[in-house]
Amino acid sequence: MKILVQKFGGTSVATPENRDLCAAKVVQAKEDGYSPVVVVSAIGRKGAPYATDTLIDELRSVDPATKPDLHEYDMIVTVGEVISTAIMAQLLRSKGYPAKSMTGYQAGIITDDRHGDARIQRIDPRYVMKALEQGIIPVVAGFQGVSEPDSPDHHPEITTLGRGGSDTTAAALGAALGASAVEIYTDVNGVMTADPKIVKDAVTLDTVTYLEIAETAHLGAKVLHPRAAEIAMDYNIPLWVKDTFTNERGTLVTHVETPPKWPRVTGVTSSGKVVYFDFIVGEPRDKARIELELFRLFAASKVSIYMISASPTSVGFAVERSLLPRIQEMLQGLIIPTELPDGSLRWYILSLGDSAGLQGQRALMDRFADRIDLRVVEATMTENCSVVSMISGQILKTPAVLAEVAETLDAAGVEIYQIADTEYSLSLLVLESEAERAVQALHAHFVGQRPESI
Amino acid sequence: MRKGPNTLFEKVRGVSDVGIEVECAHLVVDLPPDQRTPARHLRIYKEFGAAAIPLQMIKMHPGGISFAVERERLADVREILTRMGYRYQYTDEMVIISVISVNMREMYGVMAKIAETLLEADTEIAQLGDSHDSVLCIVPKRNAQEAIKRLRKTFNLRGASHGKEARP
Repeated sequence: MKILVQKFGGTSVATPENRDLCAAKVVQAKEDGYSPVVVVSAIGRKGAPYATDTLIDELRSVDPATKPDLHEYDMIVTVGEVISTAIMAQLLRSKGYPAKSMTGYQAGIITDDRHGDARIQRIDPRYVMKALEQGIIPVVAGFQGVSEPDSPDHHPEITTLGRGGSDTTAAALGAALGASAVEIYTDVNGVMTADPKIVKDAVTLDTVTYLEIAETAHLGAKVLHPRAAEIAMDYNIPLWVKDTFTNERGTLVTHVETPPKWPRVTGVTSSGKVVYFDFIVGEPRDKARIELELFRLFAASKVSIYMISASPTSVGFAVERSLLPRIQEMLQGLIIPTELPDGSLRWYILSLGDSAGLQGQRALMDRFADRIDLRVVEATMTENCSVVSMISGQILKTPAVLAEVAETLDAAGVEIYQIADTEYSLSLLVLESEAERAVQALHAHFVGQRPESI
Repeated sequence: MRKGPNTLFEKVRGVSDVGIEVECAHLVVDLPPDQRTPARHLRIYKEFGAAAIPLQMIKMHPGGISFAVERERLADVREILTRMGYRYQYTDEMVIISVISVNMREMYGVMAKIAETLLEADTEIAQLGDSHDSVLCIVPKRNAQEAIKRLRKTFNLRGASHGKEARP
């Protein structure tokens, strides 16, 4: 049996016309000799009656002041996918193809118990396999599973898989069923070298590696969730990204034995609205302690920091701009004690620019200046930034690449505020107002001039 | 080896490995206040590019830039910086330690645990770098094995690490 998992996202199943196109893809797979397993997202985007965001809004509307309980969140949002499965199964039946809707539970998707962001622990695909053996097309609700009961006295709890959950469901089912391939249908024709809204001559890639797509997804491209790419990579399942609305080939995500010759640039992305902080500590001996206390504070407050940089006298990092008021509240005037070798204490007060509160705090401390060693850690804040990234295997092993990047951006009038490199990407912190220009310039230089297929 | 249908596990969150990536030298180049714009950095990047010297963990600081290079290229780097008239400090005998974790940015506290462990091990971190799946730390080679041992204990890791052993 040649199993093909086909996943259709919210836009793909948004209207009866769109769902007809989805059904046509399933029928074609069946006619081509495959046993399709269909995975669907909730119908439509925000505003549509059963879209995930609409259901969340409904839950929040009960009392906007009370954050929804995650158990109730999972209970309500999973309804959207369940409705979608029934409608899609009924549509396939109406076209003469036996089909059966299934919840995540019925499809055997067993997760941990983390509501709202569960991980798949195991898959028991017996019910899906039984349907396939009977010639029935299983239509599985994406994005959901159930937790393993702790004991016979407990029932499984309905869970959701977090962002990109339906992609994850499709890849995981593909792996569990030993599928020939997984097809992710969306509203773009595969994986493109840049967002076509920003770069008009962005091209669709025929093939990308699992690592390239995972890196691209982590760095802001929304075409496929990295968890799905990682599962497909772990289990070596070929994964296609295709357009629901055309019959074009799409992009194959796969393992590639021979790496590209030149470190080809798979894509240029821009993501996030971030603020960059640089804390100047001054005293190298105390910097490690202050750095640690900052990291601890962010961890306790569940704030992600990234593009971290440290020098002997400073530490810098980026945070999501939406968190800026919270960060300012957390850090402005914060006092961090450090212990000196002789056992005495030195006190550092954090300053994120002048404020009445900080002035008051410093005035209070200054009264004891002859008895305590008080120093100030000044922070510079670069607001309105974005992260622009180039994805490429072995990018920095090419010695001149950094000079090329800097030269290209300099010519485009884009200033670089920070750099972060990984094995597969180079990320640059730039002003948000210059991010599109940066993407266009880098794409024109590195992608447009060097078409290199795998 | 491929797992059977009933033994499928998605990667769990958490640190999965700690090891040495590469031995390196770490340099901090002072740039005068009027030379901190990309056009000025460009001079340095171009020189290193022309000399086929790859730079790693490049960071921009209020007073200049820092980066790591393979130890074998340190002499070339120093010669270029001296020729260009830059003031710089360098530390030879360093290593890049990597802490590998799936979905690092969806986890909280990894960076704090790394910093705390290395502080307790009296290991100075010359530079930090992060991506979605790893944290990189440049530390003195003499501290590397102890640092890795302690980090592996912090993150409850067993078995051999992925990285290279530091050369004696």
